[in-house]
Amino acid sequence: MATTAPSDRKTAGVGWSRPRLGRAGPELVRYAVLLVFLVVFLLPFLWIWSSALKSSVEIARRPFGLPTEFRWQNLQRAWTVGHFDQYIWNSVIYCAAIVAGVVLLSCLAGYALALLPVPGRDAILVVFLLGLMVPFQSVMVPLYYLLRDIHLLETYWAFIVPGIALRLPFGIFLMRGFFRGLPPELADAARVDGANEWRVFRQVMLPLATPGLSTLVVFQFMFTWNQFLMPLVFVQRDELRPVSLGTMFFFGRYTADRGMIAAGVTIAMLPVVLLYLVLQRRFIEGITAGAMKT
Amino acid sequence: MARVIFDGVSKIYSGGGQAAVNNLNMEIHDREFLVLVGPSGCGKSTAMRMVAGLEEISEGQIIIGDRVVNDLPPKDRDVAMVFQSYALYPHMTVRDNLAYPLKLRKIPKGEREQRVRKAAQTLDIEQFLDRKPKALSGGQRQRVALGRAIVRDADVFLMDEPLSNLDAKLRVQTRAELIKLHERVQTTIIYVTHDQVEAMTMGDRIAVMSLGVLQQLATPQELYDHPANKFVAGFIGSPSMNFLDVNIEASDGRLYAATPGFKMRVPDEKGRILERYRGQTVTLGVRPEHLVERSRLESHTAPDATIPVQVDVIELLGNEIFVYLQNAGTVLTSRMDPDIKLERGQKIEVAAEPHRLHFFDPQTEEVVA
Repeated sequence: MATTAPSDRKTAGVGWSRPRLGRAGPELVRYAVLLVFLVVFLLPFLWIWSSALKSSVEIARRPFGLPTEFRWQNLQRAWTVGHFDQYIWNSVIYCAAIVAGVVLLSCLAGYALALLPVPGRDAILVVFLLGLMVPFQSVMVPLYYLLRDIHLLETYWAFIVPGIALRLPFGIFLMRGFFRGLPPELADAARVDGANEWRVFRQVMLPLATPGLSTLVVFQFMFTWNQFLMPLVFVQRDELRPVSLGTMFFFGRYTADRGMIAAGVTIAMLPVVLLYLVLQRRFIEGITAGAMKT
Repeated sequence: MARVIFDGVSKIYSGGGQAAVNNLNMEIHDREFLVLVGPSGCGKSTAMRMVAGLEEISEGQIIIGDRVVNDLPPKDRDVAMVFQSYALYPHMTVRDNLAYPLKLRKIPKGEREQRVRKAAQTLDIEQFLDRKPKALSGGQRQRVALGRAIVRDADVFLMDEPLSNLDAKLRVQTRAELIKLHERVQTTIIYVTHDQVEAMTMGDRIAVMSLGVLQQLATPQELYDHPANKFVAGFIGSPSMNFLDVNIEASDGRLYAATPGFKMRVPDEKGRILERYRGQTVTLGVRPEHLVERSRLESHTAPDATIPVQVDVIELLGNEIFVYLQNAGTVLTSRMDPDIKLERGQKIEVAAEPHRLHFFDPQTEEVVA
């Protein structure tokens, strides 16, 4: 026994080390690929943030180098001279209104289409989903005239109302998927316990759909914050512009203040980047939700 | 407290097809424990959900107490329900789960707290009041679900297979507790199950359903002793009743039940009724526990009132044995005392007391004698 034991151990040791060595190769490759992707995705951010602290001349001369002196006044000037204080505030108004509108209506419609005996609910869903297939560009011009005729053009509503309408199909699709994933017995239990349909929705089913709800909020916020074409067409007055349009006005016909543009972009992207970092799990859920929960 | 009446109730789902519940007529007495039993898809849960108001009634009417409730929403029917999946609100604590139905009925906070505490005491779940359902075991969740029903003091309790998610030991224990709970709260209970043991042990009366149709409504003993048809006879009892197609033949002024493998004299009291089936085939049914070795019958058996069989398989269960018997290719099951000495291949004669033989019409499957 005493003589065999060490050899057993040795064999066991060899058995252990071989697969570990064998696995190290593919793992190194995996990390190398991930590193390449990390650099590819991170570089534009680092480049724009470093450019935000350079002068236009320095950007032209050493586009990829670190700033020789940190020109914090770029950010300050973008904020005041570039009206980013106003633009940020406008973006907050647009996001709050559009996100609230989409979330409210998507929850109500998604719940009804998922769990209530609505006649023809599958057909209604298809009609909603058709909205996903209509590109904004195809309705842009008639929508412009419509908004003009009802005197909404050049008001906050010119972005808010179509913004809600065009994002509803996605919201309804997402929330319907989440509500369908909830056990219907919970709604039945609440009905028997004495709840009317509104209470069943508000007090029992909606709190359980919180993961879906926060995913929708994050998704919707990022989309609205980054919207460019719709506000460009419908809200042209400077005091109504959202932050996504702000940078455009640092471009002259023949010149461009690149340092200011980079500073403006930095200010515009900060809330979205921060939100993404805090809630990235929800964001990923949002991307996969449609595929997983229907 | 209230009675529940099904008056010609049917449920037909849109899309047509067979009725899920077909012309159900039944009265459940005040404070009765009625068990609705049947195989999956027999309409028992649908019938219960119609009482709760969770399914619309296609035809007929349901009366709770003295009110026709067809058009009342669930909240106005004063029924409480325990679901198979418990359906506890996951985002609320046990306390809030119990208090929720009271809150909806605008019971003052003090009284609400008192009633929640009392229900929690009754079900021994006081120590879990501040936990969320996910922090409870299956048995504890089941108690909370029961608590949410009893806290209401409702007219009728509806229980939809509440024990089916529990393990075997806990199920037996909870079964006994439910019986005691019924004695304590004295409420009308409608209990749905597919488990005939639950039905037999818990129900004051049992309603057996199949394919949406009520087959028989009777006490457990009556169902066992006098099944109304072949379905009920086969459904109640484990192992289930033996069925044999036999020809009714007359010889020497007596009736015999004959198959290619045996010819058994029909007891005189059954014979008078079976006279009209002379020359025809009927189904003979006999329960495994009533099919015993001839010498063990209490009453004297005529030699031609037995079935000759060969022992095929013996299953020892400790307190009893199941013996599978062969007669000309037909297999019969017998449940015998463990002290009886049998061997595979042994030839014996088995018989049953005359009143333990059941004869069913082969077309209607109704009992005839």
